Amino acid sequence: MRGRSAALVVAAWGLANLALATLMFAFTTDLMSHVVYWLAVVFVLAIAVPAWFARDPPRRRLPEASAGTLAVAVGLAFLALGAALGIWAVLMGVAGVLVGLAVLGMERWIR
Amino acid sequence: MSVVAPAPTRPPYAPLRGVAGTLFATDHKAVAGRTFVLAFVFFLGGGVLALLMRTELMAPGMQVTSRTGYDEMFSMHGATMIYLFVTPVALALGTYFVPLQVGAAEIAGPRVNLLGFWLYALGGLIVWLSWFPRNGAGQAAWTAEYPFSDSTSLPGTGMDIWIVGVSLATVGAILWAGCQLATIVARRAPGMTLLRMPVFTWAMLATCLMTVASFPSLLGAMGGLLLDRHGVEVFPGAGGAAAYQHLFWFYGHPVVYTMFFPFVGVALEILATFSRRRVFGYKGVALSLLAFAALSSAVWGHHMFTTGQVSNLYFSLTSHMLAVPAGMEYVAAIGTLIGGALLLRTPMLFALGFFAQFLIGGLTGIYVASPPLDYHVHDSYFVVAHFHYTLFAGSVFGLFAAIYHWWPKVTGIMLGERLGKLQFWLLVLGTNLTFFPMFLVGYDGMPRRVADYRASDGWTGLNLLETLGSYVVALGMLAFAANVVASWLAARPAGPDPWGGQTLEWATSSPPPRHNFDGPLPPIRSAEPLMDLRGVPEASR
Repeated sequence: MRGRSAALVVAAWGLANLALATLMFAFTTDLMSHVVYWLAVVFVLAIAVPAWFARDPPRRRLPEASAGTLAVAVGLAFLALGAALGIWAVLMGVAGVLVGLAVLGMERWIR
Repeated sequence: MSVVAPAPTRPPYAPLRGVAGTLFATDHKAVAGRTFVLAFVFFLGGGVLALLMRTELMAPGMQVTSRTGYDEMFSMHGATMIYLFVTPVALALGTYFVPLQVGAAEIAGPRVNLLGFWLYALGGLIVWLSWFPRNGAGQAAWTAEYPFSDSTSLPGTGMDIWIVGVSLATVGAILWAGCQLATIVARRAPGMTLLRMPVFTWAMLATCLMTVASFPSLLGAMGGLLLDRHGVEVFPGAGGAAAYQHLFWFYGHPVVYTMFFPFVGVALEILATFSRRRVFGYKGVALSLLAFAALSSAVWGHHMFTTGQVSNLYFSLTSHMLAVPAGMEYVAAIGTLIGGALLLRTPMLFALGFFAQFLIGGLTGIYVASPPLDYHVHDSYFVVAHFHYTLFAGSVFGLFAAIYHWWPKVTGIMLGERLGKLQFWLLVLGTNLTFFPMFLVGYDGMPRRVADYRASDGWTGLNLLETLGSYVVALGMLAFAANVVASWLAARPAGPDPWGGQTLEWATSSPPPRHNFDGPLPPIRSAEPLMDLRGVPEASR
């Protein structure tokens, strides 16, 4: 029941936001205000769904250290920097993410 | 019915040493520790910028930097303090202590949590690298105000890089919040029901909900801005500056509470610990945190009162409603103190300072939540004073309360009381000397984000006071650094529970072992299981 009780808290929080978002209709017709708020409300309520089904997962050995996360992060950084620095950064970013994902995969098997 | 929680199941492991242990360890405590150290490096950078700005404003005339340099300084100061210091340290407290407080052996998603750290670290580095390209760093404030941040107003790659850095750090924060949320949902020890979670964990639950729900909006704003700067007309077609402001402030107001709630939680726990009482009105506090968090998503428009693009009535109503949950938290704080055996150690002083000084920020928040009053003080130093009373006089005092409270747990050694109290009083003096006069000059019309003013404006004396105050704050920070060094050299062992703590982190060794608890957990019958062990009845709440 641990996941379910927490899911109820998330859902209650989402419903409180739903009420506030609904209340806004009485005050304004500004489309942007409604779009921003309702997107967030739907997102919050969607979080409650996985929380409802969450269970304490069976214990498994996870890596004590992870270098793959650094490679993924560097890759993502270069991907994002591509907008400012050009295609070479995008290519380096893609390479970094792929290497990182491969290392992450290996970390699961080689401990 | 209460149950005796077994010790969390521990997988076998080999302790990590060397570079791998320092940089790549997935242990939530190591990740939080690294975040803390890095955040303080950024705090140092942001603090130096603040001192330079205050020196510039000490007297009329340009003395320290150019006007463009000043624009870069206040933009980088704000960005550093919000994105790279207060938000990360607030979440890092949860990364370290939420698993301990709920009796978990590990945080959920340890590698995702580590990825969050790397994105934050790289993001911070990139934000600071934005000083170097042509046209320099971001100059459109920490809000990257559109259209001042578009490619016409700010050409060059500096602003692009700034946007990327901020976005990466934000993704990191979302990942941290997701891991803490999953830990609270699925990793609580048997017996740790929601209504037995410590107040700090409740605060982190509310914080993480806000973070996960509102931070993606900043990513939308930053992504749109980056595209806009590269020829894709994102905002002009969607409502212009108002569309950007909606996306930004939907993040920009909840982030204030992300930087506040964790410190409310820890400050309430400190008041209880150093009063030898349980937190007064525990269920009310949990409810108020959730109500506060829900309302935080409905108040962003009060930053846009003067644009004429939002319903001032609605956003004024919801903003004033915030006073109700905030009031409940103050009632809990006062109720905890009444009848307690108060012990005025350094963490307690900082916790009391947090509640006292945040009150000034909170009450002036009611003031700026009223559109007619906001029209008068909008974009003036009054607003600068208001948010520095919430974020510096409030959150940073809460942060030092947390540091002095949990330092023995994290390091196994005690910080010095004498230097701690000296730091507290220096910060009280410096903070109020720096920020209170800002209310006066702001009310008198001094605009924010200006590098200079005329002698005939009559603001010179108060600005001089503000600058002197900022140097006193810097002295306070030096006292903290001296305390850390002196304590490290003295290495006075703390033991597992030097304060008579109430929650599960005090039931393990200092510092905690790799998987948090070596022995069985104490029975969890309330939010203060260690008080139960000492035989203090719950009716004492």
